Amino acid sequence: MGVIATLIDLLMWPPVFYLVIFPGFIFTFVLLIILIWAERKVAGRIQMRYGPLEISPRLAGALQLVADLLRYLTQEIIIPRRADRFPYFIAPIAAFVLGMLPIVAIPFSPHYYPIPMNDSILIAAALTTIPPLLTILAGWASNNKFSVIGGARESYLTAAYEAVILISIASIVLAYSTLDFTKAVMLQEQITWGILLNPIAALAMLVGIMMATSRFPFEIVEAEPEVVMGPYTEYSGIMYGLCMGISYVRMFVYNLIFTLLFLGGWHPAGLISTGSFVVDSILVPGAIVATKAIVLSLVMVFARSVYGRYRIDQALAAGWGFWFVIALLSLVVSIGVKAIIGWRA
Amino acid sequence: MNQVTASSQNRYAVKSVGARLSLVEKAVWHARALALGFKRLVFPIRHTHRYPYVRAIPSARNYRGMIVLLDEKCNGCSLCARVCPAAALKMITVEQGEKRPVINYERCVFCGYCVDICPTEALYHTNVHDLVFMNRDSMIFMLDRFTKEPEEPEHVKKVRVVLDEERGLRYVPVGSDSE
Repeated sequence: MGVIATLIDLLMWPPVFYLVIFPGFIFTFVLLIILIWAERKVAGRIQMRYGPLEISPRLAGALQLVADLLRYLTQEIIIPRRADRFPYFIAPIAAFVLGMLPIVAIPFSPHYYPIPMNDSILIAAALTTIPPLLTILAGWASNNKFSVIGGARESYLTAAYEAVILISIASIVLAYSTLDFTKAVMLQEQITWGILLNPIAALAMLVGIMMATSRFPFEIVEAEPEVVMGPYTEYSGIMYGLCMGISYVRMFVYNLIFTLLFLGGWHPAGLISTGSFVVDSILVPGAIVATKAIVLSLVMVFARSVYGRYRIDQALAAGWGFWFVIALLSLVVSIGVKAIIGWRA
Repeated sequence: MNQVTASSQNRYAVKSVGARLSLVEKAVWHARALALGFKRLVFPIRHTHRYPYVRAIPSARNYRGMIVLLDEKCNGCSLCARVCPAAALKMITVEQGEKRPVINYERCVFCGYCVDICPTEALYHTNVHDLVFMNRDSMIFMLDRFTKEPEEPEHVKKVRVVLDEERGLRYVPVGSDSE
């Protein structure tokens, strides 16, 4: 057996295939490019402009992001003399990779997942909380006042809004009485989608995702007129490209979790049966989950061009004073739902 | 305090202090903002002026563009060169001791004093303002170029730009009756 055949075997081994190709690295990367392009086009339409157009007018500027990527790849990576080199270099790379890591716990169909586990919701939610720490580390290691301010803002916002996200997840988990994504989706197939079971938790988690991943109405961490690029001020070249991608990757992963918890996951997929295992239990459910997550991402991208940026004090006041209370309220709603649909799991 | 002041104060308060709105009112405002954004997403209005592809012709009649000399009207009094604040116009001597102005567009500020002061109305403005020069020497217009209207590139669509509140920026072809 040659080297190439061994490599192909390794790549087609389900856990590796899952993490590297379909919902993993390559899929997310292609999605990232399309999503950033879509964001710029949508924002352009709403703000009475065209968005990227000049580089390929027939494709509506779709090659702009490829051109940007090539530019980032060919730019010099500058490391400031006073930066703390090892954490400076490792922080964005680790944040990008760890931002994708929750995919290990997210199934795309009842039969398509990298690692079978019973507590997948808990593990996915826990893994999503790691990248902000590396963002703060990047800000600290850059040794720049804007970076430090950005890192401090990230820590404030993360504390406020990940509490909202985690309590929303906890409340919907309370309604399902299971910590397994697969069982949660099967339960939604039997009863109804989670967004109808507990709309308050869904709303709180949606706003929490937009805030915690510094999506655009709330990019307080990276606000350009205030702190130049926040924690990523000192980065250049492809490192800056990675930094830009972190929030998109985190948003997409959060949206996958949201899809599985609130939007019924692969719900209508059970109606289709062709008899082929690959089509029935991998392609169709995977496409449905990915489409739902992409539509949700586009909704968040749409919100970017409508709202203005909040101040940090407004965002924190809204986070602790309003959305935290709403998330706690959703726990009560979940208990009510549980009383209605019955206590047996 | 009269009625007008009180009402304007109320309006200011509603606009500036979001904390005074109730939760339902806030939700309504959010919904309105999102609905407007969605409307713009489906029916876009573009205010972008796609400059190099469509070139706007100014609609004002007394637009101060590039200057053209009518050689047969000029009597060589050199008032234009004297009044020129940027010293863009210079007089040169042509045959039989006659003087004629030439212009250096590197210096010209398009103030129009020369056109105003000319006693025989030998200078006039065109609508053309933006030409590209490959080097500095070509920005000096001697008599052969100063007496002709400047040529524009052929492939550019010449339009008038009209701001339409319903449909955004509209391009009206030059010569149509809507102006």
